[in-house]
Amino acid sequence: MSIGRMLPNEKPEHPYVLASYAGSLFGNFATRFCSGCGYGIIGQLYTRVFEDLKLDPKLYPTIIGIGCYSQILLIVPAKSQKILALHGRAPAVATGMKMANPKMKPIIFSGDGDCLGIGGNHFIHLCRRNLDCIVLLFNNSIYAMTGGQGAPTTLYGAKSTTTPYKMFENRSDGVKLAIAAGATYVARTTVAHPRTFIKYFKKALKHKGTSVIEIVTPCVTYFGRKNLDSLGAEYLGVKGEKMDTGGKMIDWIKRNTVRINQAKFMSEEELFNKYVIGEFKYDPSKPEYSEEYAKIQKIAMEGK
Amino acid sequence: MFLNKNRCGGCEMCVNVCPTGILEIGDELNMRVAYIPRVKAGKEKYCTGCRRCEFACPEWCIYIIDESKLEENIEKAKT
Amino acid sequence: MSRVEEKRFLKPGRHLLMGNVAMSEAAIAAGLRFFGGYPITPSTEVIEHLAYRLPQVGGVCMQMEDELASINAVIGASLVGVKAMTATSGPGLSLMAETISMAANLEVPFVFCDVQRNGPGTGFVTEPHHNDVGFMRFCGNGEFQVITIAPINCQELFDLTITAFNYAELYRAPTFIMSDAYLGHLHEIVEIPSKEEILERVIERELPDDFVKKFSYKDETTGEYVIPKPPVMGTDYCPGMFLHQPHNYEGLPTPKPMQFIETLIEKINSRKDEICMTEEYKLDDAEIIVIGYGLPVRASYRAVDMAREEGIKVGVFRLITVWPFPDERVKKIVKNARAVIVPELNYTGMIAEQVERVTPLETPVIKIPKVCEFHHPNDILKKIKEVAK
Repeated sequence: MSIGRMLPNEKPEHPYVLASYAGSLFGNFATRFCSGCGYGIIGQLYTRVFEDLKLDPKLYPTIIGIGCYSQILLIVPAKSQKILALHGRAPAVATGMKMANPKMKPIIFSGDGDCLGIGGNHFIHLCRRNLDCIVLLFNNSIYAMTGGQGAPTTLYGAKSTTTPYKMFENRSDGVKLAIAAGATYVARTTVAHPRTFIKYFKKALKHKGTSVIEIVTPCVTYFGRKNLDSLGAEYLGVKGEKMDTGGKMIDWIKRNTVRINQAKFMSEEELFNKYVIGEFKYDPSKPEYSEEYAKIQKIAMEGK
Repeated sequence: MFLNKNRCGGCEMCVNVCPTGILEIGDELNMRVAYIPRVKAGKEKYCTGCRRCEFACPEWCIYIIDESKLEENIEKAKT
Repeated sequence: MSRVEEKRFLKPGRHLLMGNVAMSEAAIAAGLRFFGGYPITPSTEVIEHLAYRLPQVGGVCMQMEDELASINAVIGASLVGVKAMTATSGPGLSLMAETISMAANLEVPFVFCDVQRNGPGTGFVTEPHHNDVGFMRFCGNGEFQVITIAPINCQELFDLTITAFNYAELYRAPTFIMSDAYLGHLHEIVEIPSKEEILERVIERELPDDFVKKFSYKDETTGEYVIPKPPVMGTDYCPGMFLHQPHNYEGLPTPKPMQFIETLIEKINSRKDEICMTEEYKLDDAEIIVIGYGLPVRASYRAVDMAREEGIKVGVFRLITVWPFPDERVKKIVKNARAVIVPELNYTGMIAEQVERVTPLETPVIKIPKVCEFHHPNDILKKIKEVAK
């Protein structure tokens, strides 16, 4: 089984390497991600929160969809219990797990094509039921695993292998969909703001209800290399050059994000191809599905 | 600040994220055939230990370590 | 929790039950605690009855938004250590095919009831038509072996459902119960045994002693395919990751995919003696053999009695488990026969083809196809007389 190039160890090692799955199996750390990919960062942040809070892995199973981020199971903590679900069906598996064992809180890793494309139906119904789980939506606006095809979240005017001329479809917005369907804690952040991710994740762990955290990550190999620096902000007058390193993409993400308090004063056209980050909704007062079902079980068992 | 030279992929994220701007891409090539970063000459003491490079590295290969906790004496040239 | 235990079993004795309801009651008695389904004619009564009964015993019955979500939720519940089941019809089985192949790879135990209706496409929704028999064997991409059970009346729907749950726990392969639009809605008298008799038969989900081997493997010394108990997420008996690629007994990917596929198929095929259930009726001196499964068998019994009165030597060999097909037993039975008759409620004759595969070339295999109508004993009697001349 090849995990990737195992390069010789150097002392001292990163403090969280031995906690990751690959680290505990092989003693050395290797990822299969490309060199500018944002999933390595997310894996590190997730492992940090898991180890620092000393979460019980039996109560937090991880359900991972199919996509480039499926390799993240090599760098999440070794003791967490992980399962790979089919493409787009992770919310349905989480529903079954949670209702069969109400003490658990599933954490779902999902991508933009996985959750908003093929799995859109299951995502909507998961938010509608307000089941107690966390959905981490990784948005790199492309289908990276299969070679760079266009996704429902690809920006207007971008180039991908299935839109070689220009992408002209309307972008779908995971945050608006989650709010309309009824999720109770919705937030968006990016890879360039890691400490906000840790803050939102800790809040979601305490919240009883469906939490949806969308994370904007860069994809250097397929989205960056084929698109210019000035995508999404033509009027800024930025010189157009291809984004072929992670650093340039982080720069681009930072330029194209707008905080939610600022966005209230901006018009629709100014927000056109931008990412709005912040917490959009927090409502701890809505009833949660498994608790309501427990009440029904009580009524049925007391009856005749 | 410690940089694991072998694993670095040359993505330049740490360079972009550093608030004091002391990192830059050097000319050295490592085993993965990528240009790895180095501290700009003469600016070592500007590192504030804010850990933004540590959180931004996708390969987990740059991180802040506490010098006084080390047993062996590693050369500071590793930064 | 004695209140729950009381509610789990119906009062022993004779009850008048509909086919779908008898199956639901047997499932609850066998330990079902999660049902995920979607309403589709003719299996709607299953979810309606379970929505009323399952909360009384502390279980969960969920109506999901489509068939894909229902089977995925059933897999999720089964992974956490709860017995789970779903019920649907032909179009639903087509939608669930991908997930069934994933469950076969991960060796997750679950029970699936297919109340068949006319097809292809939407079809006449209230007419029986055994057109999914071949589909159940090759349901989903990839190679694996399944177990299919075909009851013929409501009493068998009760008894064989408990057997199906036991098979799912023991053999960890997709287990199908084959019913149809007529049998599901038939009201008949069912004898419910006492609580102790049912509890003796039921195999519960428990943790084993050996926590290392979690998936099926071949024991090198004895050559036997060992099937350990299913792992449970949320306990220590769980592999590091559930990856549906060829894996070894610990769950890590293996460099020998052929060995993995061989284990998946041979673990059932090597146990055909225990798994296959068949029944013989007046076969001792028979020259003409009628092989059947499901509803046409009821007409065959009557036709064989009528033929025996006229002196023709004929008997019935009934397949209770349709897959895996019991090659050796059928070969032995048809070796000296003059002709074999296979009445089926479909046109292609899916089991007739399997029977043809094992009969000698000189022996004719005669199909009696019917679609959406039942075999009358006279139809079978006519064919018997034609052959007997």
